Amino acid sequence: MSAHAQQATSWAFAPTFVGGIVDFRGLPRGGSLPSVSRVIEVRNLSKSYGGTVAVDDLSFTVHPGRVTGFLGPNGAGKSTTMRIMLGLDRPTGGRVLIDGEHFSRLPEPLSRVGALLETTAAHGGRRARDHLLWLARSNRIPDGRVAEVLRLTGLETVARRRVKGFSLGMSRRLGMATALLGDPPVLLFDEPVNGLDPEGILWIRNLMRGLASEGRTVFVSSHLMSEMALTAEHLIVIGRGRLLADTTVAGFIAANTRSCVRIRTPEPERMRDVLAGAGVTVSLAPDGTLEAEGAEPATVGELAAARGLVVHEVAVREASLEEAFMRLTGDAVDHRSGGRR
Amino acid sequence: MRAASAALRAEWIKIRTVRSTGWTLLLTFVLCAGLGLLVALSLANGFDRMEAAARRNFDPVLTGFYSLTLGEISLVAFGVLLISTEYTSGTIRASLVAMPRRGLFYAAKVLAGALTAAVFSLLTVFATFFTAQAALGPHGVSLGAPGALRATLFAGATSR
Repeated sequence: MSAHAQQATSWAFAPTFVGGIVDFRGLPRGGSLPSVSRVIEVRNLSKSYGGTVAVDDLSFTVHPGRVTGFLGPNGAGKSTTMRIMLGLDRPTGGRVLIDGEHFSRLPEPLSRVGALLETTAAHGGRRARDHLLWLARSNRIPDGRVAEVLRLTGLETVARRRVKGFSLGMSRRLGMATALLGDPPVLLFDEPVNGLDPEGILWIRNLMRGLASEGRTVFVSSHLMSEMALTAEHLIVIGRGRLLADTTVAGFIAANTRSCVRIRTPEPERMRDVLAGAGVTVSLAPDGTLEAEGAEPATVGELAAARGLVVHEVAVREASLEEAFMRLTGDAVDHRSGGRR
Repeated sequence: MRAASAALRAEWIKIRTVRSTGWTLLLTFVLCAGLGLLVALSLANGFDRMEAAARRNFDPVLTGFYSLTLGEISLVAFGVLLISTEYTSGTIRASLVAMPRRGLFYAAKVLAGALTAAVFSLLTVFATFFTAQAALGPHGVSLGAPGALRATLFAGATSR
C-alpha cells in the first residue's frame, strides 16, 4: 500500500505538459480533507427498465485512497449504476450510500461528490467560465474556485469561449473542472478517457492517481481493461449487471491470466506427441507452432533434449489482460459479434 | 433558505449567460415598443378622418398597448427556451447533480425566469406606454389620466 501511495504521489507531482500545464499543487493535500468515511457503499442494487434488467443485485464497497476501476463490457450496467449513485436514476431495489447517506440528501453535494459524466452536461452557448460559475453559486462555492479549477485543468485561455466550439479533449477538461469544483473527497468518473488522444488519456490518468494519492475516493468506469490496469489499484468487474470480480488489479491479473509456452520446431507432430506423453496440454497452431499450457519452458527443453528433438524457439507467452477480461466477461456479454442470439 | 437562495443565484446566472435571453427579450421590447409606436403614429395621422363614433370611443391607452399581445409571443419563447435547453443541452444532469432536490431546483428555475420576465415586462410596458402616447400627440394621455397607471401595471403583470 505504501509503495503504491508513494508511486502515485510521484506521478502526481511529475511535471506533465499536456496542452496546458498540469499542476496538482492547487489541490489541497489529503490532510485538509474533511474527516469523513468517504466510502461508497452499493447494497443489493437492482435496476430494470421494463423487462430488461440493467443492474442485478449488485453489492460492493469503494474505499478512499486509491483508484477503483469499474469495469465491464458495453451495456454491463456501469453507467446505470453511476447514474443511480448520483441520484439521476431511481433504483428498482437496493441503495447506494456515500458517507452513509443518499446522494440526494447531501446538502451541498458538489463539495462531497464530484462527477464527470460521459457526455458534457453544458449548454453550448454558455462560456466555460459561466458554466462553472452557476455550478459554484448553486453550492455556495466561492467564485475564486472557478479560476482555480480552470487553471488546474488548463482551460484558462479558453475560459471565455463558448462550450459549443470545444473539442472533445477540452469538453472533458471542462467536465473534470466541474468534478473538482467543490474540492470533493469522493469522485466519480464515467468513461473519462473514452475517445481521447494519448495526451488526454495520460493527463486524466495522472490526475486520477494524484487525486487518489491525496486520500480521495476515486471511482472510474471503463470498458478498457488495459487502461484500468495502468490507472486503477482495485477493480470491480461487472457483466450483465452482476458482480464478477471485486479484487486488486494484481490479484485480478494473477487469477485470470494463464501463460503458455510457445514452441517452434521442424518436427511439430513429434514434439506434440512427446509433450502429450508427458501430460502437457498442447495444441498445434496452423502456422506449425505449438502452444503448451501450464508447462515450464525448462521442462519443454529437457523433454526435447531427451528425445533429440531440434527446437528453434521456446518462449513464454503471457495471456493479455484483455484476453483475461474477455474470458471473465465472455458469458456475460449481451451482443457478442457472431455469438449467440 | 440558504439552499434556496443559492439555487436562485445559480438560475439567474444561467439566464444571463446565454445569448437566447438577450435576443428574445430584445425582440419582445422591439415588438412592444416599436409596433406600439407604429400603431400610435398611424392612428394619430388618420384621427381626423375617423368616424365620429370611433373618435368618441377612441381609447388611447388600449391603442398604445395593441402591440403587447404580439410582443408576448417572444417573451413566451424566452420562458420556453429557459426550460427546454436544460434538456436539449444535457445541462439538466449537471443541474440535478448540483441540486438534487428536484422541487427546490424547479422552483428556483421558474422563480428566476418569472422574476426576470416580470421586471422586464414592467420596463417594456412603461416604455411602450410613453412611446405610444407621445406618438399619439394631442390624442395621447399621460400616466396621470384615469386608469392609465393601473392599466400599465396590469399589462406588465399579465404579459408574463
